[in-house]
Amino acid sequence: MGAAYLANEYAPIFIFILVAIAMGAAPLVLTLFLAEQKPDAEKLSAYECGFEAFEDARLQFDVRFYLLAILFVVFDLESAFLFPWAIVLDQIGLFGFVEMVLFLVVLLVGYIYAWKKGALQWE
Amino acid sequence: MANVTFPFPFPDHLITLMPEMIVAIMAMFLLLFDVFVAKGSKTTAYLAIATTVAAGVATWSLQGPDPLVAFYGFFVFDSFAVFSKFLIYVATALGMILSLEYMKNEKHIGEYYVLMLFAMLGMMLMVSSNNFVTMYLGLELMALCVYVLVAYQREVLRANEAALKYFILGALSSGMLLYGITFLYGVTGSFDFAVMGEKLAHAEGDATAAVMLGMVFLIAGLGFKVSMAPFHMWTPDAYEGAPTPVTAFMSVAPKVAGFVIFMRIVADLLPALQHEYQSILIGVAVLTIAVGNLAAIAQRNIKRMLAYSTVGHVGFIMMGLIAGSPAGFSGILVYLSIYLVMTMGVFAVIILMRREGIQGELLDDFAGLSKVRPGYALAMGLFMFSMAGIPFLGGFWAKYVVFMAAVEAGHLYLVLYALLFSAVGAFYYLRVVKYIYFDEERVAFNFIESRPMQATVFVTAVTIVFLGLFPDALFELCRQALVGLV
Amino acid sequence: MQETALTLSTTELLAIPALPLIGAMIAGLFGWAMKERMAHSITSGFVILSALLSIHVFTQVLAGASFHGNLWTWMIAGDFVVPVGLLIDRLTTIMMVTVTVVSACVHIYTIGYMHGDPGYPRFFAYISAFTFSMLVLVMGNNFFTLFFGWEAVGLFSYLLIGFWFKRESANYAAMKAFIVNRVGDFGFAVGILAIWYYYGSVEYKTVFAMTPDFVAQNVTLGFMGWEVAAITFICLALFVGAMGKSGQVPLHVWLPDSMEGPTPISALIHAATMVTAGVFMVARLSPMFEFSETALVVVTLVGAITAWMCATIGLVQNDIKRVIAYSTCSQLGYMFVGLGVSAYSASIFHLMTHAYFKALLFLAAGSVIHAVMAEQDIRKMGQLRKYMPVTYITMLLAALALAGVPPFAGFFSKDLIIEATMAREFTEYGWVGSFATFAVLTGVFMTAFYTFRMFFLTFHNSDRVDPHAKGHLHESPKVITIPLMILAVGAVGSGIWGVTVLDIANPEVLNGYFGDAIFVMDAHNPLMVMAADGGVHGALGMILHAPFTLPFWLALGGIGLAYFMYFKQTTMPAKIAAASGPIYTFLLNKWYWDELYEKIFIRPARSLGTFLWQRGDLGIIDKGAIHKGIIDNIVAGAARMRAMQTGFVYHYAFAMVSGVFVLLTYLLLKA
Repeated sequence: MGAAYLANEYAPIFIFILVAIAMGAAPLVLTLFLAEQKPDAEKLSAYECGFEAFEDARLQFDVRFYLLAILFVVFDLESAFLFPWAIVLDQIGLFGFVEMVLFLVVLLVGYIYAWKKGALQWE
Repeated sequence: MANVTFPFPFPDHLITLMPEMIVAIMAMFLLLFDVFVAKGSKTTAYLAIATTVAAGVATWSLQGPDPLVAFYGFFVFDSFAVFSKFLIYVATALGMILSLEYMKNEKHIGEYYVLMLFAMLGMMLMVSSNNFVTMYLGLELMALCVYVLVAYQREVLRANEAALKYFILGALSSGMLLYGITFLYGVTGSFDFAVMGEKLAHAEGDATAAVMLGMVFLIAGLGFKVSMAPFHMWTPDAYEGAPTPVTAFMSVAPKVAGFVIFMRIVADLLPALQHEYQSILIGVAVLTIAVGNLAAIAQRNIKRMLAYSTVGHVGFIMMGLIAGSPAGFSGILVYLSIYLVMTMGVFAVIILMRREGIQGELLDDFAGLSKVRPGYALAMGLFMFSMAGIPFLGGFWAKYVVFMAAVEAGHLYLVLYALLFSAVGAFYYLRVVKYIYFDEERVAFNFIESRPMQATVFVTAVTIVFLGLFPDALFELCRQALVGLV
Repeated sequence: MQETALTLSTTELLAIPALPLIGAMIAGLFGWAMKERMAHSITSGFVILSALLSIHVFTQVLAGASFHGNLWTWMIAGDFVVPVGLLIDRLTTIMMVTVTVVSACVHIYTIGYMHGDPGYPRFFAYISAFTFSMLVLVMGNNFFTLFFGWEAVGLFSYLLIGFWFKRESANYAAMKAFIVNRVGDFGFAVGILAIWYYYGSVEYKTVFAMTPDFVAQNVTLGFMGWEVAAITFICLALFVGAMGKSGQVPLHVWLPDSMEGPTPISALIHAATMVTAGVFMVARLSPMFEFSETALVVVTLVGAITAWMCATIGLVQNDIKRVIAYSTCSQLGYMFVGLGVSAYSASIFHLMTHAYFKALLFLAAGSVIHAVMAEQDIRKMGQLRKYMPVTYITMLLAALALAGVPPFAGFFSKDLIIEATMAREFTEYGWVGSFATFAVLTGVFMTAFYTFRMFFLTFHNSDRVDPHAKGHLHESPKVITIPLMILAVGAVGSGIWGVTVLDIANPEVLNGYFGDAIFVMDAHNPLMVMAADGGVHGALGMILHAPFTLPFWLALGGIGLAYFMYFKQTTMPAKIAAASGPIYTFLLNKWYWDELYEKIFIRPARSLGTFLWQRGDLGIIDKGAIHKGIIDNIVAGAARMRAMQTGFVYHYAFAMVSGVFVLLTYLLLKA
């Protein structure tokens, strides 16, 4: 296991990290040059969706956020499941495909239920 | 693309899962059926009850002399699983029947029965598992559903409190359980009980400490589910806060599933460590019996009292685990069966007591019942006598078999201790009888009239008397169920 | 399982005890809904039917039939099997006939006697159930049916003595009877357990067959410091039961008190049947008693003491029923003396004749009591013969039979016992034999005296009837007099019948009628001795021989004295009573047995009870150590447990985590 081996194995990851940093940094850097700068107090304040920025940390906040968060987790996990499946799909074949379809159907049932119950509506 | 084959013989393995599939599909169907068609009518409830029956029929038709194994040993279908599944079906079906009247004014009632079905599915997976993956899958499915069921009356503050406590502590216990499994996996490199048991028998050196650590966390995690002290503290709060039918359901079915998995672990995973786990279990049992029977005395709310009574019963059931013999295991099954019948009967009576402005949960509410409804009073008296273990009712034989098994295994002092506390326990059971028969009526009684519930009371009462007089058939059945396990 | 010689129908045999039971159940369960007529028709009808069947079985057995077999199993516990079976032989059938015939007479008599009583159907239910129990006692083929019957007759005796439960004295008498019987029954139960322990079986036939070998092995057991032969221990334990049931000293005290019960009960239970159960039992178990000399000597001694002592008490009693009751005790003593000298057949013979004439005496006494409005004191009667001729004549016959005047029934049976006793007097019994002879001979005189004292005071002498009751005096109705007449036939004829038809007294056939139902060793058999002395044959022979024997003159002497004192010199009794002072008081107070028991047993028992109640129950449990030590701790523990349940999640979690920690520490330290 020499340095060459390490370079071979980890080079894509290293490149991936570099690209990710570039992707994140690019919009920030570009705006410096491209956008018009007119700062005021509101614009400079830290932004958090739906909340006052500076308040008691033990604030009660809307239960609907949880609902969204849970739904997000569910579908997030679904995609987390889909990636490895996609990688080995050629090895598990039709059986694997059918399994995933079943999984998605189960998920879909829950999704339809949540939709029908109005869980996805903010109001 | 690789060749398209099924990695297991199809459809044999799927047929082994027939009861589970029926329940899963029906649960999903009912979920949609409720929102699109039934819209909160009782049809969902009836279909859910029918589903338990269908699952029972499927299980019955599948059972044979030889155990079936599916998915590379991840799922077993032996006589032990069959017996415990039937207990779970009965508990779930009775829980649903008890809910019919109690929950009829609740909103979103469709979900309720679906959650019960999913909880049942989780328990079915648990009792059919012989490895930690399947077990944990079932356990969490059951636990999550029960958390929600406890909180079902979401406008009621104590229900929310109860569910939150239950959930947080449940998460803690799941963490402990997983932590314990991790250690055991680390030592053995497998999740399969039998394979792990084989490896554990040869663990030495540093591995021993890891095994001990894993075992303690495992027992703690599972002990939480069956309310062993000191992991029982959620029980009274959850029992009190939950809707009464849910209390009935959760005081029976998860206990069945929990003890079944306990027995599988003790029999397959830990035979080499018998000495160690026995000493732990004895300590826990001593504490459990004392806590359950003592704390129950101080209760005024009958649901809380029954929660502690459950803890006490769990302590008695543990005697069978400690005995670790076939007699002990069959004793546990006998105990669980009889406990199921008694508990369901008691809760049915409690629910029938609910009336305008009164939950029927305080002991005082029972005062003078015998003069108004002698039938209910008699049934309640029978259940209480049976729970106290007075011959010749079912509860007596339940205690008898586990105690005898423990004595045969040489735990005489433990049994004497348990007998002492069952005498203490008789006090609070008989106190209920005293309220019913010797006290004056304080508030007007106004009972729910519900044929299914009255039938439940009647059938359970008759069963308890019948089992008290002719327990042999049940003994034999429980012995048969253990063929292949021990 | 059945060994049947000739043909005895099992159904018929079962019907004999079953019929009274059915009658009892019908009257007992549905009596509240019945008219009197219905209740007595059913029970009496069934008992009469049962009596007829018994007589039929008797004739068959006389012709040589017998039955032994187990019908079904009562219970099995390990290798302990209790069968329910019947043993019908000559001993059993004579008892069956006696029991059912007397019972039938009493049933009929009761119709008149209890008329109008609020507990009418209950009474019939009890006496029918009693009849059933007694039949089970005699018909069973093992010790457990014997014990069942034994306890059941005791129970019904208790219920019937206390039948008038509103009378306090009746309740006390019932309890006394029951408790004294329990003392005896304890010995009886010990005996049966010992049999089970040593023999491993409770069936008569098995036990009897094993006994000779068992005795040959010389099994002994230590009992309170003595080394006792097991067979002696068993026999004596069983005999204690017999003493209780048959009113032998010192367990006789309940029998006179049992007269608190209605008179038909006194006739049926406390004269004719239940009290003779002990006699029957010893005779039935003759194959065991024969092997224990000690037991036989004890039986003789107890019998002799009872026969003599109760006769002396009978001399001075004034209650008509008590006189007869003490006479019963005394006559039972005769029977035990007979058993003790191995004259089993003579004892059973006396049992049978006694059943008829004693039941007759009681029923006649009941008829008298009925007539004088429930007065039982013979000092307040007299001259009743004018008013009730049938009662008078039947009672005279019974009194002659009891006194042992030939040719009445009592003469034959009593004479046999006396001769048997005398025949063995100076053999191996030593002073016991002499005492027994003395007791039975003086007993004859006293029996004759007190019987006729009672008889003359009741029917002759001066008219001392309460003027109030005078108008009511009349002969009893037919339902009462007919049973009297039936029994009178028995009182007169059963002796002659026994000697001639059953050939009981014939020494040449040893046990005569009983054959192998009774076992006697040749060396013991007093009848053999009598035969060697040139025995007397046949009823006529016995009667003709009577004037040359002592008992005959003793009996006549007793009657003569009674005649003299209560017929001629009617002032004399008072003078004698005054002259004999303390002896008279001693006898009148029944030898102070009750007072003795009060001092030895009752008072200590009561103070022990008080002690346990005050110190034990109140002192220790309710207020003292138990309450402080256990109950308070439990309550405190409960409160503490409750306090631990704080309701805070972090406390709960803390408990869980510390639990894990403790368990881990424990395991790791241990490893």
